[in-house]
Amino acid sequence: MPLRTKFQRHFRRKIEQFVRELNPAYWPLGAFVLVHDTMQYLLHSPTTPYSYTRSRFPTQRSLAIVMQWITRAQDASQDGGIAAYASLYGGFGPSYPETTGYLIPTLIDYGTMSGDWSYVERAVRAADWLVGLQSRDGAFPGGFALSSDGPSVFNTGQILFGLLAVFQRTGDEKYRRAALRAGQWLVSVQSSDGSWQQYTYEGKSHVYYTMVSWALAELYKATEEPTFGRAVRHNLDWVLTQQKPNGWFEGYNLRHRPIYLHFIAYTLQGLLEAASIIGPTQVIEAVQKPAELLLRKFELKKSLSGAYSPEWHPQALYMCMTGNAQMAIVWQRLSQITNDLRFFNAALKMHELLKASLWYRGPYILRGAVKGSFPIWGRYLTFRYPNWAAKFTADSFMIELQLLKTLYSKEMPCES
Amino acid sequence: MRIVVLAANIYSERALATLVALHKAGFTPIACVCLSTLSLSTIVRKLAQYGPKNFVLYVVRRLNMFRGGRHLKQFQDLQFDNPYLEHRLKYHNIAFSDVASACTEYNIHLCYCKDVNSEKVLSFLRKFDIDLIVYAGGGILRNGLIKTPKIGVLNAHGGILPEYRGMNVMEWSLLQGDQIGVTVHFIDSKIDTGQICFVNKVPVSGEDGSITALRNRIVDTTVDALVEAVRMLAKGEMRTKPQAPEEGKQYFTMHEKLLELAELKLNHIVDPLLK
Repeated sequence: MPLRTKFQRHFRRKIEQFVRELNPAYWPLGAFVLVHDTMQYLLHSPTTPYSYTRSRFPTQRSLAIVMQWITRAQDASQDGGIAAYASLYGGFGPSYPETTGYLIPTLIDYGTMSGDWSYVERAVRAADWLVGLQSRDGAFPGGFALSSDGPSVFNTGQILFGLLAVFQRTGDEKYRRAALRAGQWLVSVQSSDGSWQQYTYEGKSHVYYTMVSWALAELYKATEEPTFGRAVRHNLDWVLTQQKPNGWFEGYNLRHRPIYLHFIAYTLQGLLEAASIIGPTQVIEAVQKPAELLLRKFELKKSLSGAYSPEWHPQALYMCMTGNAQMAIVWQRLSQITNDLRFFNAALKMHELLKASLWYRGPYILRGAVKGSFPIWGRYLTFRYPNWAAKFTADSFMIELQLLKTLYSKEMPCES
Repeated sequence: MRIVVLAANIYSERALATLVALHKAGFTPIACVCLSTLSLSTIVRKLAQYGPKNFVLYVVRRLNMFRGGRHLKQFQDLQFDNPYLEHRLKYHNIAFSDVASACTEYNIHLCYCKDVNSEKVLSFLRKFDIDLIVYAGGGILRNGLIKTPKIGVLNAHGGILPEYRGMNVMEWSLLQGDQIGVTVHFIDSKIDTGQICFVNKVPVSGEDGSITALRNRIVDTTVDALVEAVRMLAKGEMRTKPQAPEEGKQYFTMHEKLLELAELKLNHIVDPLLK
């Protein structure tokens, strides 16, 4: 079936669902966003080579409103965790342990950068909530808060980021102990081939669990415990065996789901960051190939598809905004590692795309929120604004500011 | 030699300067293929390129030029964006300001088109049994057009090949602290990967106060380089060098934040030269 027909059917189904499930209180807002996004999508014509080369909004301003949205998502949940998303169906969702975990470093980094210590306090509050969810064996549960899901490798890995960041900021041993127990549990359930198969999504191994490897690599850096380093190397070796000559990684193993850009970028980001701590240079080369391929696609088309096939053919007519922000991070980190400024250039343009999709005024659930899909009825988190999209967007903006500062300090050593 | 020049539009200063320079060197082109100015895609592209304010200024200036007549008697009335090209035309006592007028003056056949790869253009070119196409703008060329002339399609690229392919290569070279220059090469089906004729390095001088000024000088250099290449081809002195795709990188349009950095880098080079 042609992509356009599939998209039209999906659009009709989503509109019907939207009308059926929408909370009456959100009708005016939902209808407005729907019409607005439809218009923007129809007018989105990136036909010129000059698209996204100019800054319409200062990055600091965009970063500030995204961070403010994250604080509102935390305040909405009241347990210290951060609401998984804001939805046009009915406002903020429940707290989400996995993403609360990796939002903690973002809160701390922004607090340090802006000098607003309330963000650090928020990070500590979120970490305290997470510590309370840890089971005796060190694992953290999957799913949303209060769900009865069993232990989850991916969630434990992402929460590890938060525990380590708070320990490094406060020096409180309870977070270190929790992080160590989580790390030991992750090592104990790793399969003999280096992947994770137990306590995973659908009980299968997934290449994007490189994000778990990255968390373990951070733990290895903090504790210098060789077991963690070995586990990371073992997983990276397994992931590298999954790479095809065209740069694509096999083994996403997501049944009935397209391979969203979000998962592709997870794999690349995890590989890159884990390798930059542990050291094997061939991993960086393995990341560079697909990252450069996506850079070329973005530069030529002025957007990335929301999902791709193993032949790198676009599988969606919508964009996955989380994946977009993550790719901007991957490109910026590659630019730092390889000194190739083409990656930074593409990330700057991607930032313009992300900034243009934000609401700078308007209702509090939308102001500063990053949508799951553009247009909002796209398949990835339809009609929702996930907190992880905001997290990766904020992280990417912070890397931009840091990179620009470094580049300017090279040019103007006296002034800096 | 039967030469055809490709022009981005009738107001293209680069194409006009190339036509004049070829004529003065004794290689008057037989025809010129020119993209239509008033198409929606051109308007959208210019709007995005210049921004709304500068776009209006651009339109007003072009309308003024049209109102003043194509043949302007006073050289002072010529309104060029590129002062180097303006100076070059004044030097040659040229009293016209667009490609169409130059074609009338030199008896060059002119073909307007929406796409240089269209069948209309190909059949127009087949009539003349051409030896060489000189590229002075007009978008991406497809194989049909590339294979039409006997010798090939000559282009002067504003960067050093094979290292710097693609767009904004002068700015990219500056930003990365590399030498800038112009490469004359034959166009093939990929971007800037054809056989290299020669490279002319362009050292930064005290008069290059901004990226725009330096870019203007590079464009001026490309005109001379193209004439030089045509002369070498006519004398049979041209020796080309192939380039492998993996030898260089392709660059894309530079974001304005990096352009500011490149400008800063240029100032660091120019300031000591001025002192």
